[in-house]
Amino acid sequence: MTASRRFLFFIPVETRGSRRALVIGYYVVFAAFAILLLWLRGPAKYDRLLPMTYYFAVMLGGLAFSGPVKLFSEWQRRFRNGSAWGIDAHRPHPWLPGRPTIEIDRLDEHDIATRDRAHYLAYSALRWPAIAALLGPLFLLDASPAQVGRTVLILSVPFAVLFFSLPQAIILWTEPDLDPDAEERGPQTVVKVIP
Amino acid sequence: MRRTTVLGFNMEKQIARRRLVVAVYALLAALLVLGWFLDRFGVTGSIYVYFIAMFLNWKILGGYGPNGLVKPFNGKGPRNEPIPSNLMELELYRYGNLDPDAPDQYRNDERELGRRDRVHYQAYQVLAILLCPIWFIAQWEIRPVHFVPPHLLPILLEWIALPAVLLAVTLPQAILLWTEPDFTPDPHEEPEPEPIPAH
Repeated sequence: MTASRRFLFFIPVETRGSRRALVIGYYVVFAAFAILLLWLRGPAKYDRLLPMTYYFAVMLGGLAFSGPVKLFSEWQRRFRNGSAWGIDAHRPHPWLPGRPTIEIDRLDEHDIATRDRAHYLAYSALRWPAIAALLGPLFLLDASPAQVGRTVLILSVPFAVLFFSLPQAIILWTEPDLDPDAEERGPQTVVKVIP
Repeated sequence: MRRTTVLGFNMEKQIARRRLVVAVYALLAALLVLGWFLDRFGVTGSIYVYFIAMFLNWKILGGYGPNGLVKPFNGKGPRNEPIPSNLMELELYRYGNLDPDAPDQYRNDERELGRRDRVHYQAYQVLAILLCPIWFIAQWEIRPVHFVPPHLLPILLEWIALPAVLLAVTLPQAILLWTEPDFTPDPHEEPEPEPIPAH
């Protein structure tokens, strides 16, 4: 699953240890970023973090072609490969005949199983905040609409951070070290036997 | 999934399970409308709907509990076994080697585990789509926009957020019940004896 990129910007993510460090660093950096934003710009700008939760998660991959984790969606993959509406790869877009297409490898069985398993684990973990949301209306009975909106936003930022990044984080955390590719191997010593 | 009945209806056929899913969501939708008319999604209108949804989920759909049509996703059995009397029994019980009766009622095989993971992936996509309007509306409540009347925003937020939470709790099980094929006859089950024709 993690073979699409060996580097996140300049950080190598070939070994499990480096990928785990990346996951920890990701959440630490986001938390620090949120604290800095709150400190420098105040709570009024807190909602600016919401789109960032998605953009930060895109860097990990999964949601987009770039990143250490392979693209999850088959639909996005077909669309990127030149399909008209992500349905059939053999039907190029009629309005964009000269659109450059990017060939992306299909997910193999292991990739699909890893992707689905990561989503199951993420769903099981994020199901608890959804159940906790059942009790939300009890605390917002006398709140004004603006207060409800603010509360939803404040609570939804940490939820969004986890929602968008948890499957990728699980994959990065659990996948073993990558095998070195053939073209990335160092020069091999060839022993020539002379009779 | 289990071969079981719900309220006396046999759920071995896919069409029966699809009808059940439609009935569950129709009931939840009706309860949401009722909750809206009762007190505009106050305590009565929202909390009770959620409790009913949790009950339906626990008793009929299953998945995240020992009961229901869908086997427990985590593969753990019900907690009605006697307490292990020594450490060895406790260890055996912990690793699933001390299952006295019918582990196939809660243990998922490889295909079922694959289906479980796949439906969670699909449900995740649906929820990701549902979260976007919730966040847009929550932002518009703080910074009102001219194209949506301000008094509509909290109503819109409630009408999207409440079904989204209901879906988050029930959607994987519903997809599973909707998509699983008919049960095939069990090869180990003995065929029923043919009736003796009357002379």
